[in-house]
Amino acid sequence: MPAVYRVDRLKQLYTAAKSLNYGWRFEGVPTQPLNNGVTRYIPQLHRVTFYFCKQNENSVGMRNFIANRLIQYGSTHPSVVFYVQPIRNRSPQIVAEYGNGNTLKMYPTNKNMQDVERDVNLLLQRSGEDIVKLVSCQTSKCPSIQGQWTPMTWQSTRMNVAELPDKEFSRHKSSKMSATEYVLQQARQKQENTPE
Amino acid sequence: MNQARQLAQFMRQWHLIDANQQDVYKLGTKVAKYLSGNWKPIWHPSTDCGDHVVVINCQDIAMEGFDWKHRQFHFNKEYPKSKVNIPAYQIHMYDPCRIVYLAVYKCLGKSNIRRSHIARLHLLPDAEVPSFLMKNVGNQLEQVQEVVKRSTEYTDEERRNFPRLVKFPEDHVVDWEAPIDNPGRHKLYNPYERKSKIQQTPTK
Repeated sequence: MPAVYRVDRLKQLYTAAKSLNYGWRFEGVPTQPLNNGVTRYIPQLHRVTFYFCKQNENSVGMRNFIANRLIQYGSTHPSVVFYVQPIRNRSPQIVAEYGNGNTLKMYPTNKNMQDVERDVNLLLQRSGEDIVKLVSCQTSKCPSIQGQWTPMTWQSTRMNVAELPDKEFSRHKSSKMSATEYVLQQARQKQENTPE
Repeated sequence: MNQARQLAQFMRQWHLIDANQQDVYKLGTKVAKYLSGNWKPIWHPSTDCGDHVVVINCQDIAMEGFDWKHRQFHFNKEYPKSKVNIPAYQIHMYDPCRIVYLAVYKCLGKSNIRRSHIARLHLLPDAEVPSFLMKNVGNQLEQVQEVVKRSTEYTDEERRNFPRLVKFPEDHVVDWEAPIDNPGRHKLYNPYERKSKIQQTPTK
């Protein structure tokens, strides 16, 4: 059975390193579009459109929100344009457009007024950037003292000076006793116990 | 320092293991683990982190029970009359390293990557390791079994001091104290020869 001999490939090592788990690397960092807020702050939410139906039951929360809260939100957020679009037999939808070109949509179907208000608050507070996880894969209170693992980490240091192959290193270590050892041990004990 | 450690993580290590009196399948399992790099904490199916293993004293390998006679290795070259079962001892007589090769190849599993893993296995029939191999070796592996003392290795004094468990009668005949040579009665089984005879019989 011939085995194909191959030269070790660097690409394999590279892909191997890629698959390692970099626990100290975050999946993202908190950002603002165009360093917004460093000198002055520009609100990023530009336009909110409410789509709803005047008759349908599933738009009831949206209708209550528009009737009771929308004027208040318009006065407190002068930079945002609020559009209201009644469309027949349509499930409710909130479309928010941001300065960086992102469009976020929320579907408050069968939600009450409080839930719709919470959705609108969320859209108002977002910068329009994509949501990234800010958790690291692994965390540790104290970093490793011994350093990264290498193949020599748990290797016996006596091998550094010994000349291989040495029978001492290859000897099988076992807690089990062989039959020969057991017989010899029993004989030794008997010899010690017998009075001379 | 960290850079050096990370480079050292992916280095190919060279291990040496003594196969003297070791069960071939127990040894094969251990060697396969090191060939595939399965023992490393960085191991992953896509990580090519297998090591080199040098196996010495392959001619002194051991098999369990009556396996030398009854363990059959099946070879099939996909040609007519080329399917043969050869017992282990005949393969061992032909090539003292082949049994270890076959056992390790079996223990490496069934995936195609074992082809590249087995290429890093270096088998030597005796304890003499060539210097170009020995200069790479950095680690010696523990054997999988205890090496027992052969009956011929006991001195007369040790035999006398060994505690007597049984008292033999005066006329007790000891079968053997040392392994005997082949008396020559047994003829080796040759699968190819036998097959040709079967084919010849109808022509006569």
